[in-house]
This record gives sequence, C-alpha cells and structure tokens, in this order.
Amino acid sequence: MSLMASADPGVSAFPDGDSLFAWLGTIHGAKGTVYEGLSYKLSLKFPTDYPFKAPLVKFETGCFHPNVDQYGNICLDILKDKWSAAYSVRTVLLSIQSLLGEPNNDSPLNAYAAKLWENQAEYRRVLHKKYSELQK
Amino acid sequence: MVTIMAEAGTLKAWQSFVQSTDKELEASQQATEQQATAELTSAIQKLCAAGLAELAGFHFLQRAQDTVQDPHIKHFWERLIPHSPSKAETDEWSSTFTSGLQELVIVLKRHCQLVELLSRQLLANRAAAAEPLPASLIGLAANYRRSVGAAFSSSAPASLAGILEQHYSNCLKDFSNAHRNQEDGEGELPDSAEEMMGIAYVKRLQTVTTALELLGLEEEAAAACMSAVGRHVRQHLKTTMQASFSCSILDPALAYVDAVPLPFLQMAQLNVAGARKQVELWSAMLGYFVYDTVGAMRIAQFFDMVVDWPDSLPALRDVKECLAHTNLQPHFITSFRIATQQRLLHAGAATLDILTQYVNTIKALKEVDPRGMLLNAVGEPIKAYLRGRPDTIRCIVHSLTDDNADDSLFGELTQPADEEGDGSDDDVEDWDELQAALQWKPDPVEVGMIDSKGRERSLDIISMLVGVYGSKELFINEYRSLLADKLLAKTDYDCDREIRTLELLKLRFGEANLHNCEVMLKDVADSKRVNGNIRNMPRQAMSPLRRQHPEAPLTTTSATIISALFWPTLPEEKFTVPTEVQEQLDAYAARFFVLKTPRKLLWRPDLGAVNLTLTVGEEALDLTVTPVQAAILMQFRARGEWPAAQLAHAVGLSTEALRVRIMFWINQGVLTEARTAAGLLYTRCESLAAGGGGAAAAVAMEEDDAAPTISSAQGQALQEMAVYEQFVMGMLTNFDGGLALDRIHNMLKMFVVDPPYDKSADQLSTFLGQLVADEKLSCEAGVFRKR
Repeated sequence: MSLMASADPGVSAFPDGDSLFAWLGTIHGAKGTVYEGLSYKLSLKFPTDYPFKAPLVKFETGCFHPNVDQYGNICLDILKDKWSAAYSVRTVLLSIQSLLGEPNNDSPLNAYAAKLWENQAEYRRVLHKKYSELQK
Repeated sequence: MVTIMAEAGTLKAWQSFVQSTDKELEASQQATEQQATAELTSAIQKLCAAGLAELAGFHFLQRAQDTVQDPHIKHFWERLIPHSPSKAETDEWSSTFTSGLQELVIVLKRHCQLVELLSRQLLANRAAAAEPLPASLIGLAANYRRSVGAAFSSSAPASLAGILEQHYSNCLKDFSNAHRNQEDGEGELPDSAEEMMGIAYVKRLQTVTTALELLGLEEEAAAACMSAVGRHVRQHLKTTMQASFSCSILDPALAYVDAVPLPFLQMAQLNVAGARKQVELWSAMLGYFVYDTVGAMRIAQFFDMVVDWPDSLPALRDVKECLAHTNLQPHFITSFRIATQQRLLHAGAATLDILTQYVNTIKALKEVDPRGMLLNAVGEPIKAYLRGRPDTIRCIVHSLTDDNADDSLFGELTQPADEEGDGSDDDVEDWDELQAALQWKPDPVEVGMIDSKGRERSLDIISMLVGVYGSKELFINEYRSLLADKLLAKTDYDCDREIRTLELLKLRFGEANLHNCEVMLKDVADSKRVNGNIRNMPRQAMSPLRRQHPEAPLTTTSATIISALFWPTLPEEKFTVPTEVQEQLDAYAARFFVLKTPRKLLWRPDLGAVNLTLTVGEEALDLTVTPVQAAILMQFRARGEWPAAQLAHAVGLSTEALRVRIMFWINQGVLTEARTAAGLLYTRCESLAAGGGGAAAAVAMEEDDAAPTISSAQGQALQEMAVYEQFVMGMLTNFDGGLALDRIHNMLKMFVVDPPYDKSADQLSTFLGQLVADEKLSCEAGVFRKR
C-alpha cells in the first residue's frame, strides 16, 4: 500500500483510525469538467488479500454521476474485473477522478444522469443543486 | 442468745479494729508500732473468727487510701503549687518535689507494711480455718499501691507526665552542666557519672524513681524520663550545630549521647544493678534518636549544603550516615525537592546557576548515595525544568567548552568517562563485575516513587547533563552551531583550542557523531593553506584569457573555505557587495578555481569580517566590523549624504535592516541621522562626535552579533519537521472533523517510515503551532483542522 502523502492535485487518502484496512479519501473535481470546485469523500476498504483483490471503494458524499448509484457504489471496470495488483490507492483515486469527467454512459447506474450528460449546462445546474443540497 | 453474744463480741472487735486502723494509719511515729500492731492483730483475729475477714480487708484499704489521699498527697501538691511553672526551672521546685516525694514515700512504706501485715494475718487465719481464700483478698498490697498511684496522678495540678518530665529535665540539665564544666576544666574526667555528680545527686534521682515505683508509676516515670532526655538531646544538638557545614556534627553528638544522657538514664532509672540489656537498649534508642534528629536537621539544610559543595563534605557525610541508619529517604526526597522547587526552579534563576546547582547536586548526592537512587528521585524535577528552558543546551555547551570561566565544566570534560571500559583486560573486568554482582543490593523501596526505568545510573556528570535532553544528537547539533560561530569569527585560522575540545568530546560521544565537526575544523586548517597558496600563486598559472584582464590586488582578502554539506545551515543575508570589494573576491575566486578545479568558490560575504581604518577629520579609527556595516560605510566614500531609501537600495537591504546596521556608525559618531520630509537622511560627519570613539567599538560589534548568526538547534528542528508537513496536510484533508495532537502523532508514528518519524509529541506540537501561525491550519480546543 503506497501511502498517499504526495501532493497530487485533487486526490488524497489516509488511513482512517489505526486500521490500515480502512482509508478515507478525498477527490476534487478535475479542472475543466463540470465537477470542478466540488470535493467528494470516499471510503476505501481493503480486503485481507489486497492487492490481489480490488478494494471496495464507495462515495461517502452523495455523487450525481452516471456511473455512481444513490448509495455511492461506483461502476468502474478496474474496481471490478479489470483489477490488477499493480494499481495503488493513488491510481484508483486518479481513475475515479477522471471517471467524473468522462463517464461511461453505456452502462449507467444512474440513468437520469446519463441522459442529462448530453446537455452539459443543464447537467451542471442539476449537479450543483444536488451537491449544495448535500452540503446542508 | 449465743448468736447475740457472738455478735456483740464481733461488734466490739470491729470497733477496736476500726480504731486501731485509724490510729495506725495516721501515726507517723514509728515508736508506737509495736503496741499498736499487737492491738490490730488481735482485732483482726477476732474479726476473722467472725468471718468478717473480707470486710476488714476492704475497710482497712479504704481507710489507708483516704488517709494518704487527704492529708499526704494533697499536702504534697499544695506545697508544690506555689512554685508554679513560671518558676518551675528553679532548683527550689526540684528540691521541693524531691523532698515531698520522700515524705510521701515514708508514709507509703509504712502503709504498705501494714497492708502486708493485714494480708498476712488474713491469710494465716484462713489457712487455720482450712477455708479457701476469696479472690478479692489476694494481692492486697499491689492493689493498694495501684489505687494510691492512681489517686496520686489524678490529683496532680497539671499533667503528671509533664511534671515528671520537668523534674527529669531539670536534673539532666544539672548533670549536663556539670559534664560540660568537667570537660572544659583541666582535670581528668571522673571514672563514673556518680563520682562526678556526688552521691547526693544520685540519691535524689533515685528517691524519685523509687517513690514512683512504689506508686506503681514506673512506666510513666520511664516515659517521662525518656522524653526529657529526648528533648534535652534535641536542644543540645540545636545549640551545638553550627551553620557551617565544614565539620561533622554526627560523631560529637553520638559521643555526647554516650557521655551524658546514657549515664543519666542509668542513674535515674536503673535501681536494679546489672540490667545490661536495658542499658544496651537505651544506647541503641539514643543512637537512633541522634541519627534521626541530626538527619532531619541536615536534610532541612541540604540545599545550602549543595550550594557550598565541596566545603560541605563533612556535613554530607553526616547525611549519608543518617540515611543509612534511619528511613529518612522519603523525607529527604520530598524535602529536597521542595527546597529545589522553591529556591531554584523559578524564572528568577539564571540557567547557568541552575546548571551549576544541578552539577553540585550530582556531586553531592554521589557522596551521599553512590548508587544514585536518590539522585534519580531528586534530579528528575531539575532535569524536567531544564528541558523547558530554551537556552539550556547553549549553556551546557558553552560551559563545557569554555575553559576560561571559573565555573565552567571544562574540567569535567577532561576527566575520563567512567562508564566506558575499553575491555583492555578482560580478566580484570570480569573480576570487577563479579565483585559488583556480589555486592548487589536491591533498590530501597522508598525510592519507588520514581519510575525504575532509568536503569543506567551512571553518575558521570557529562552524561547526566547531556541526558537532560535524553539524546546526545541535540547536544552535538548545538555544539556544531557553536563551533561554526566560533570558527567563522576567527580571522587567524588558529583553532588549537577547538581541536582539543573536539578531541575530548570525541572520547565522550564517539568519533562518528562528531564527524561533521571534525570536517569543519579541517576546513579551517585547509583554508589556511589554500589561502597561502592563492596569494603566492604566480600569475603565469592563470589561463591566458584571464591573464589579459587586470587583476585586483589580493593582499587584503583572505577566505575561510567551508564545505557546505558539513556545516550547519547558515542564515543568509543578502546585500550588495561594493564593486571594488567584489572585484577582489572575484579575483580570489578565479585563483581558487585554478588551484582546485573543478571546484568553485561561492562567496558568503555576509559571514565575514572587515578590518578597516577610518579617517574622520584628523582622527583615525581601526575597527573590525561586519561586511554589511562596511558596505554601508563605503557608500559614503562617494557621497556625503544619503536618503535612507536610496542608501538601502544601494546596499541591497531593506530600510529596516539598514537602520539597524547603520546605528553602529551613528553610535560611533561617524554618521548622523536626520529626519526630513522625504524620510531619514544620513550624513557623513567631518569630525568625530564627542562620546563616540574606539571604546564603544567592541561593544557595538557584539551588539550587532546579538542577532544570531547561526540558526539555533530549535530552528533546525523545525526544518526537520517540515518533511512531515505533507503527511499532516494529507491526513487533515481526509478528516473534516479535525484531529487532536496525539492522534496525529500516533498516525505519523504508524505510517511514516521513510524517513522514520522519531519526533516527540512536543516537537510536533511546536511544528503544528507554526503551521497554525502560517495560517495553513486552524486549531480549536486542541483539534487541528485544515483551513
């Protein structure tokens, strides 16, 4: 487990409490996407046979996104069947960060969001409304 | 009828018994004894025959008690009362007491005889009648004595114990005075105490004891006697103990106890000859008492004794003896801790004083308790306090390396460390170890109040001092800074003394730890050589291209060339070096480059020193100043007046920094400062202002140095912590609720492995405080949060 103490822009993670198997992560929306300026908290749970199994990654902050369902589950291939032991926490978080800007609308978990994606201005409006609702 | 007759006879017998009893008891004349006794005897016999033995016994006892109580005891106390406590000291009181008791004894003795007689009679009669003896008639005499004793003590005007003690201390004082006179006098001491005081004195003492024994009060008497002796000894110790610690008081005190109170006790209490056991017991008790009292007194003064070290050595030995014989250790620890707390560990004491006292404490306690348990207990608060002082390390290093000061610790450094055996002779070492193992004793439990983790109890002063901070790294770093300061201040490359100090330190801390310092010294030595080479280098050695340029003369420049890697980080102050100086520096650097290719010189002009001769009016000043000061002054060669802002720009300083620096020249009377509408204006003086001059030069130079030239160990620590900033920031990004200090500390300890996180929570706290000050974090109620 490479420790995320680096100064990577936009992603960071740290063990939650004294256990090394549960981490807290933070992702800031990438510049130039509708998610810019928003930040999301994630939880990462590592199975005991990590890194041979993918960690269980969930959004703790509700995320309006085609590939994220209302419970925060993420549909991302590298977290499922494409997982490789070469991935680290950092790469996983960076993947999720880029997923925010480039959703895979062919297999949506959130059909409404997928449909709305075509209209970026409207999408941005809904997204920010949902986001600010969550902050309250 | 027969019964009535018998009763009438009995009645008569009773009356005669009662009469004779009264007569007997009141009679003080011994003459009538024979006759009266006969009368009493017959009366008793008759009563016994009538079966009234018990009644007779009780009546007799009752009467006897009443008589003793009413006239005799009452009288005794009444006689004593006029000599009330105010005059209690006088001899009169004592003699009244003694003679009164004597009279009382005579009466009592007689009564006892009578009681004995009675009880004998009763017993005889009983035996004749072959009847069992009623329990109440056994031990009549003892019974009687007991009740009289009770009556005696209960009727005393004050507490009996007090009166007895008074009496004994009066007697003891007489004895002690006589003893002192004897000692002071020329004559030899008499063989025994009895001889010295005369038989009358002994008799007087023993009368009292006998009387009290008769009254069944011997225990009270013994207690009173002991407490009188105790008081006397304490008094004696107090008066004989001098404030100075230059001589032992323990031995004289023990001798005194053997010479005075012990014989006194013997005289006063020992009627039965040959009770050696009792004497031994007393001797032991008195010995212990002396140890205890002297110990308590010395312990109260221990702080002063430490201050007076090593003149207080005899007194320290006293303490050692006392602690060995008593269990005063806990008292010692608390008492000394409190004294230290009150007298030393406060803001008013200079760090150097605290250090000196600490060193003295170590030395003194080494004397008192070679095993160092006490030191562990009392040294801890001092250590903790020293740790809290910012300048402790500096003071330690200064006093360790400065052999000029009186109270420096340089001497300690020259002594070999006792902990490091080189193992040159294995056999001998084994033997020593075996000896140590055989002499091992468990640590005393009293000292259990300190944690027993501090196992290594080396009493070596240096390691104790360095141990204040727990590690030698800090110490070595500080020494490095200090050494850097010293070496940079040198202009003559002479560092023999530093080398010597360093060698000594190397013996202590090992070669590897001081490697950097060694390189620093070597740099200076090399600089000397390089400097010489550069100056003497023929121009032909330069590259042809360079030879074409005219070269500035080098005679006034010399350099200390340091290896940046091995020196502590030196704070940099940027300023513009005047052109002519810069030319010289460049020329020097060019020659260095030729000599030491591919190395290049990077000048740090702010760390140098400038020797200059200044001519103001008719006077010439020879000064050594900092390069910045010199640079400022050089600007005035071309112009007589400089507005502050322009001058600051010319020398490349901020106006504030310029103002600080230029104060030196204003104080020297070389420049003047004037306020104009456009700001400050500095003007060159055409003659030295009064009051300025060379005398102030040295001071001014020092003042300037007060701004620390080398970042202290503290600053370095902060720099080291900066590595962890990212970790902390990353951590706090993910914990919106913020984290408490210890949580951050634990996390860092757990997760940061390269480089390993080895800082203390205190250091982290300082660092986080710095981050808060930089507005990177916020801190509320101990919880740190990202901004």
